[in-house]
Amino acid sequence: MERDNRIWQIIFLALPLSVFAVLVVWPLFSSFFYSFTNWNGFNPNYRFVGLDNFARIFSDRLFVHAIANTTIWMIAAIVLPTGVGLGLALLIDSRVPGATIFKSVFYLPICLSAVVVGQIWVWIYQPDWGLLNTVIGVVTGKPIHFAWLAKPDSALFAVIVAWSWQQTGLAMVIFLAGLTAIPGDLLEACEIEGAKHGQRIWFVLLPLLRPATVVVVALGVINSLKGFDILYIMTGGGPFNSSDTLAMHMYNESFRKYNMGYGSAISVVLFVIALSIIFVYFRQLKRIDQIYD
Amino acid sequence: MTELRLQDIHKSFGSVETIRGIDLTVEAGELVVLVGPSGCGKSTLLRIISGLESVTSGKIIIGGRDSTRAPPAQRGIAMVFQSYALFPHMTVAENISFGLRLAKAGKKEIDQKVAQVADILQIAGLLERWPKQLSGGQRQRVAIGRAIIRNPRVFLFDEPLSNLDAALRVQMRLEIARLHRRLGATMVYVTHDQVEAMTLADKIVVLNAGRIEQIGSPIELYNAPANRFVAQFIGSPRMNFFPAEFSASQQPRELILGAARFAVGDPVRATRAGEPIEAGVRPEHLAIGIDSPPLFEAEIAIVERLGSETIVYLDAPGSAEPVAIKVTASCGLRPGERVPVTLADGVIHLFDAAGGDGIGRVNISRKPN
Amino acid sequence: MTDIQSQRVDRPQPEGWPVVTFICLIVLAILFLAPTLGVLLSSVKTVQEISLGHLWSLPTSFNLDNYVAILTNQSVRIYLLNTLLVTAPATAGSIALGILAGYVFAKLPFRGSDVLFLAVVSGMFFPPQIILIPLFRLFNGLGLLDTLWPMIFVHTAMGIPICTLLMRNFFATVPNALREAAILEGANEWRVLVRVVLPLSLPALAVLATLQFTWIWNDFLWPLIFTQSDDKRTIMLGLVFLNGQYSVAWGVQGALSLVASLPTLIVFLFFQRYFIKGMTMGALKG
Repeated sequence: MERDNRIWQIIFLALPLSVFAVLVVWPLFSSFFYSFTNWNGFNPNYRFVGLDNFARIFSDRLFVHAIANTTIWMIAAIVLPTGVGLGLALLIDSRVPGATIFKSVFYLPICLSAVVVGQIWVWIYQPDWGLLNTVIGVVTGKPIHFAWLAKPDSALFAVIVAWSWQQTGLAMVIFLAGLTAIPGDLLEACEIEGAKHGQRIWFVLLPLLRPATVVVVALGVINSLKGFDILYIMTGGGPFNSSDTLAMHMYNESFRKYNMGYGSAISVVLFVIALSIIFVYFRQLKRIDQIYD
Repeated sequence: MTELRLQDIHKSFGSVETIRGIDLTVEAGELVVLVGPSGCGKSTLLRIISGLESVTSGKIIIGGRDSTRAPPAQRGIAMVFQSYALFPHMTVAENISFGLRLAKAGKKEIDQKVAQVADILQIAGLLERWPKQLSGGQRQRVAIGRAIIRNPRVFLFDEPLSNLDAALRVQMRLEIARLHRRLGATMVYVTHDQVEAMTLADKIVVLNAGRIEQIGSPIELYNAPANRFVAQFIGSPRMNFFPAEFSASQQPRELILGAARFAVGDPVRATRAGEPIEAGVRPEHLAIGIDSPPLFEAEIAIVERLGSETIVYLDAPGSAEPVAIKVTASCGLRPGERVPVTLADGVIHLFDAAGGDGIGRVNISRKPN
Repeated sequence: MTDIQSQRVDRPQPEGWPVVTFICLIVLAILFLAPTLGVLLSSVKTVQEISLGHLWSLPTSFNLDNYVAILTNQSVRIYLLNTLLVTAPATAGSIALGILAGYVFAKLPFRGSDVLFLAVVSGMFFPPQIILIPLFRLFNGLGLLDTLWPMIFVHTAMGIPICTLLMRNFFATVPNALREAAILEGANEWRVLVRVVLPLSLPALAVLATLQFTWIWNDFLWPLIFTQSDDKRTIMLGLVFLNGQYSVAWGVQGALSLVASLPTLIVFLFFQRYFIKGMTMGALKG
């Protein structure tokens, strides 16, 4: 039986693993390779430049700025969609009428493309007739024409808010799943012990949501690292590279300036960051597994 | 002193009435067991007492106070769940002291009370462990500890032993009985297992389809079941039922059971002539042999030898289910043999065949031939 | 007993929480819907209405001109078709590969298969930028740039991690006894997979199909990298391009956005359950 198993393991795994290897794993190693070259993407002649690209990275002001922006985005990802998603989940979970409809409303943005999301929010941020400025004008009585996406200081945050609008639904859904997984009799025991609403959330719901929180934070951070499409649509990394992230910077260097070697080096940095996040994530999961049933 | 009183409790879920008029009194210090088949409403009734479920109509009075609309935490009750409901993210000590911590009691008071409770239940060494690390019996004790520390007027147990394996169940049953004696607490205990009911209860409440069939001590229920339902529910193996009839409507009359006739005394209710009745006889009140006039003859289907006793099942005419008879362990009977069945010293319980109401009973002692 | 347990307490809470909660939710829901509603509303307005600065107000009339303009636009049709030609095969392909791999990891594990599984699944977490350049070079070298093929291949490959994860998690819930019974009857592994396990897996397949379809249909990066000419664009790429062309025709742009999102919106509305299950199954079990 064991030997038969071996044959089938090979047969079944052959296709998926080879496709994965050719189109994902091998390119990964190639990236490493290119990061040590000065390839421009087309010229078959290129040479090794050793660690030059990496040295250049740290003196590249755009790169430093991009890392700062990426970090801001990651922190925002930990706070914004996670917090709002948790709040929404707690609200919806308390048996309000129309819970399913509410769930759909908050979750809807997930099915939209980043392009469409970006488009919508570009209109919201429009200085003259955008929804944001219109509402602010109505509420404060003083019309404003602030160009959210055109000012270096606000561009990145504007994009992050738009991104969070989409990401929040995902966080909410995961928290809701975590909440419904809590056994009903635990909550009844809470009632018998006399826990008030806030106490129930603090002493029981939040601690039991820890596994879900880890997932939400990890997904948020990972997705923020991946956040390219929406940035491209809304600001293109501008104005003047002020909203560049690592992913955008990498794209600019590789496909606009054709410094593919350098671009590869940036992607290696991306890889290392992603790897550390994954590492921490898996470790957290394991630790949580040990306590909870 | 009445600790708990339920007055005409009705409960409906939508259009389905689950509890149909229940009146119950529990005295201080009593252990009352609610028992019945699945769906009889015993768990619902317990949850109504706890306040987790509301009543459609009726009153709940706990410790003299009307608690019908009170939230669970204010009724002076504590509940032990079938699944223990221990918080997985809290240690044993934290689980037990949860209610106290919610009420913002002082740390010294909490520690002291937790230690007391842990002492009673012998779990002092487990206070820093996580529920995940405990065995079923230990978790059960922690759940009980969480209940004890509330010092409730009434303890509520919701099938607490159902999740344990057989051997552990017996052990925990004894512990609960001991605990009851030690604390002198008032307890309402729900189970579907009639052995638990018989062994633990001061008073048993037999429920069926939302109504009380009978309330009484275990022995009362065993020896004098009020109707056919209680008669066949209590006792294992089940009581045997045979069609029977009276020779006449009034005294003097005889009971005709199979091929035998018995004198019927006054306490047996009068019936119309020819009204069909059922006679119930417990397995230990039947015998195999020719000592007395036989009721009927039947073929042995199965012989179960349990070591301490032997149970013989026979396929009898006129009885849809096999007739069970307890015999001495050493008998050499075998399946396939055709044997006569007679009555041993005991009781014949009589029931109205249509509604199942108890009509009375006839005591039998073996007449010398 | 059991279904009483799973029922949450339904007594009215005296503090009046449900009212506050409900109001909060309504407010938040409006905030969340506003962006999408705005687009929807703008798409049925005329150019005049919008240019009068009324992009966000309720339309005075229900005008479908914009949609007509979109749907008769030849380019839009091509974009939609291209997107379909990429999404359908890639969805099917990645799911098929996920089934094969997931089956091995769930039912035929071997020494080191856990590590291999983790390695494959972790592919989900890496930004695609990391392999952007080598893939570009690969398909350039194969002369496949500016065709639909690179997108199909890459999406199939990039879908393998999530498909493997979900299928493996699902297959793990199918009792081993079923497989063993089939083998005793003389079935080989292929038969077991196709005849026994797969028919039981329809819910999981629905989940994956929903997720993959949405993800691939909505993608922007790979089409951006791999296509050049207009007639090879997918709808999302086309959206950006056309919006550039329609520069101030906001209504048309709104209509275009909606048309582009329609397939995934429909899938979402009908298969919401599967969507949500997919997100949470992969996330919580992972």
